[in-house]
Amino acid sequence: MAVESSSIIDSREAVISVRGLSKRFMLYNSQNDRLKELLTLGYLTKGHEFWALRDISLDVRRGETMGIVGRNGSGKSTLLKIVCGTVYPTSGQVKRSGRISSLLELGIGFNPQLTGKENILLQGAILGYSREEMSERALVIEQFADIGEFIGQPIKHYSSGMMVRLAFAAAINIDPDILIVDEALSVGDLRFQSKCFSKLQEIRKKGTTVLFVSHSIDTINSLCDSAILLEGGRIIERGVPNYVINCYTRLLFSSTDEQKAVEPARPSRDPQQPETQPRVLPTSTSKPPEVAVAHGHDATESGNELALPISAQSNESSSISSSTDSLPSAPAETVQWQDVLPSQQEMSHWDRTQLREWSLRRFASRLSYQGHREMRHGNGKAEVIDFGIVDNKGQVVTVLETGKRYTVISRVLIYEDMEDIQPQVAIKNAQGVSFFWTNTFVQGKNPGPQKRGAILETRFHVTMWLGVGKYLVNFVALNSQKSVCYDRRLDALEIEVTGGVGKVARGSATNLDCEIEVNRPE
Amino acid sequence: MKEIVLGTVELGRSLLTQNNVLWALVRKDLKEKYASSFLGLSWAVLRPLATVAIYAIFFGVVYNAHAPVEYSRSPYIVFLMIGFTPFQVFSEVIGRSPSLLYSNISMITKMVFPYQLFSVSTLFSALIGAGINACIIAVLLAVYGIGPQLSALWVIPASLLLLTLFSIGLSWILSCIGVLIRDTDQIVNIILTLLIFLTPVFYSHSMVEQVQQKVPILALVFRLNPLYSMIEAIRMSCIGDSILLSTNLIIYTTVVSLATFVAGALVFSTFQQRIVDHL
Repeated sequence: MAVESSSIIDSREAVISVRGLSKRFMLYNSQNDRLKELLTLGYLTKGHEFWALRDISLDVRRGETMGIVGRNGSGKSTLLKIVCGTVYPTSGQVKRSGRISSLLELGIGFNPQLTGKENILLQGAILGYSREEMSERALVIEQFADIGEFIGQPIKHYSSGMMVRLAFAAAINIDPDILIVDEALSVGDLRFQSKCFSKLQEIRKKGTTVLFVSHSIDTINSLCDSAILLEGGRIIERGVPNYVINCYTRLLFSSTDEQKAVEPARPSRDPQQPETQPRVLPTSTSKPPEVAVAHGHDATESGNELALPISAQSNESSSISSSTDSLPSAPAETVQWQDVLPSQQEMSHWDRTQLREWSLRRFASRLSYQGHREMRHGNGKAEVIDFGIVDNKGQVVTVLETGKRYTVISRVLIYEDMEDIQPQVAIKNAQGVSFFWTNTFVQGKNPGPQKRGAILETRFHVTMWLGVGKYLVNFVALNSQKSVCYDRRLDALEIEVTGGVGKVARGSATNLDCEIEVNRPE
Repeated sequence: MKEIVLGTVELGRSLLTQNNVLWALVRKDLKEKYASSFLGLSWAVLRPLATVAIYAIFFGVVYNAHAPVEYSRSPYIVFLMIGFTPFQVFSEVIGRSPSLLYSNISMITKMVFPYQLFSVSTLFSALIGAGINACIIAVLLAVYGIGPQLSALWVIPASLLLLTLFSIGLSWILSCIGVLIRDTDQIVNIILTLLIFLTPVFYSHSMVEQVQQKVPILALVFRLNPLYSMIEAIRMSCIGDSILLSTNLIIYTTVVSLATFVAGALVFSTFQQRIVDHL
């Protein structure tokens, strides 16, 4: 899924070309240390190095829009500044062609004493426009910024919103070849934001290259052709926005949870993460704890010593046949969604590694499982071990018909006692725009405290009101009150929704359950 | 080294081609200085006038000072103004240099253009004030019926050119040091207060000759100041009888001014890459 940006549009020339770029800052504990080093011309080294960027290489082509994501302090802004040319790299090369317009740190270098108009003229002069050309443009900018009489007031009297409006209007209306935007879009009011977005789209069509930093996932998804993820001054992921954003969210959440992430379904692409290591249940390696499972007929009959899959909505299980398929050889997907879990006896001999292997193989056998693009993270105290979407006959489906009832099933295995856990399901489109999500907390049906070893099956009964298209499904187990994420399986499943028989036209985002009535009024 | 030379060439090119940036910066500078005051641009005339008036009252009236012998056909106030105007240009440019890059931090961190232009625009806005002074001087010369020598036609432009090169070169160096060591601002302004007494504003060539006989070392110090020949040359061509400066001194001043300019250009273009890191 990591499509190199160059392979999409390598026919176009690179407008920004960065090669082996690194940036070092020297940090000093005190002014005196700095002075000592200065006066001895660096003979006494008192400072210590901080590498804001290391070995960055990237190409941005004409008309391409590239998003940069990363945690605070990962080097995003420094990279933008170096591309702009206000900061010089310690090593490496930056080539850029054409007129650059930039909005760094929410401004374009306004002078507080001067009026808005004077600032625009000054900015224009620096970008190489004559005073006459710029006076014409100033009118367009004034109109776009729409800040009324404040245009004639010194900038120091502006609100931060007005300042950004003017800065953005100025930056975008001077026909830049390259536009560099650092977090500026999030400040204006909604109407101005949408104005900016449509203007951005317009200049992109004209061939302007846009490079921008944003923490807004939706913005990156909807605006960018490609994206890079920075961490510790390095590019750790690059590719289509949705993929990079999944990596980014994984990075964000895996670092806040105290424990290491559950190893992803496939070898990590992150070179800095250690190779996955099998982990074992905390108690003992030789004898894993009793894993209580819903085990076909036996389980339901033999009753109470088994912690059955408890779920708010798991009553309706009649349509799902159960079998005692002996595992861990995962069965090939059959048409029926099978309740195939290993026997309790068998499972009790498994350690966590084996459990995971089983569940991975199980996934791999599921129709439409997106192993190659799935992003997975979490603290590993519980795992989504199986999932599926079935129709009202219990058939596993990956092509859904709009307007029909389906059941989304998620199974979570609990590894440690916990107060609460909320299974969650989300559906988004290929661009990553979220269309639907819910969990047991939202619906007021929290399963409550869980014992180690329990398997929780949750059934989400839905009517597919989405329009025609392909969608990705996320399965998550979390505790939103404590901001703990146990397991997050992003883009685990791809489904396709069809228009059914004459229900909605292609291109409809939703199905409004429309019935058409044609009359001929008298 | 190659980069430095290229950078200097680049600067020269942008000075010639991007003159609208320069003017935009000069306008910005003047507006910043006078924008929020009631009298506005009038202060550009009033301030130097007031300063000269104060000196004229104290030295001319209270101490009853007269213009030195070689300028005997000029009243004291004209003598003082001609000496004071070039010095004020130098003093204004140099006094603002250490904090020049700091005060334009919002532009430097967000825009890319030759930052050398800040020093140049400071000089130009100082020259505008000097131009107003020059007009007043011209009126006074006409009133007192003093005719400048013909040599003024080339002596004044040549002196101003040297003054420009020297001030800009020094300004580039000081603005870089000012970024690294913020105390430079204080130190430079103390030195400038001292410098007015080491520059021929209140005294002249003939008075330095007298000092030469008593304290030769002090006379040497006076002459080593490049402003010495610049100011005296202007003054001699305007209200004196002939140019009394020795050829050696003129060569020395020319060399020092050019060297300062080149050194400043080299220092600045070397340091330019790191300005933002240190701001």
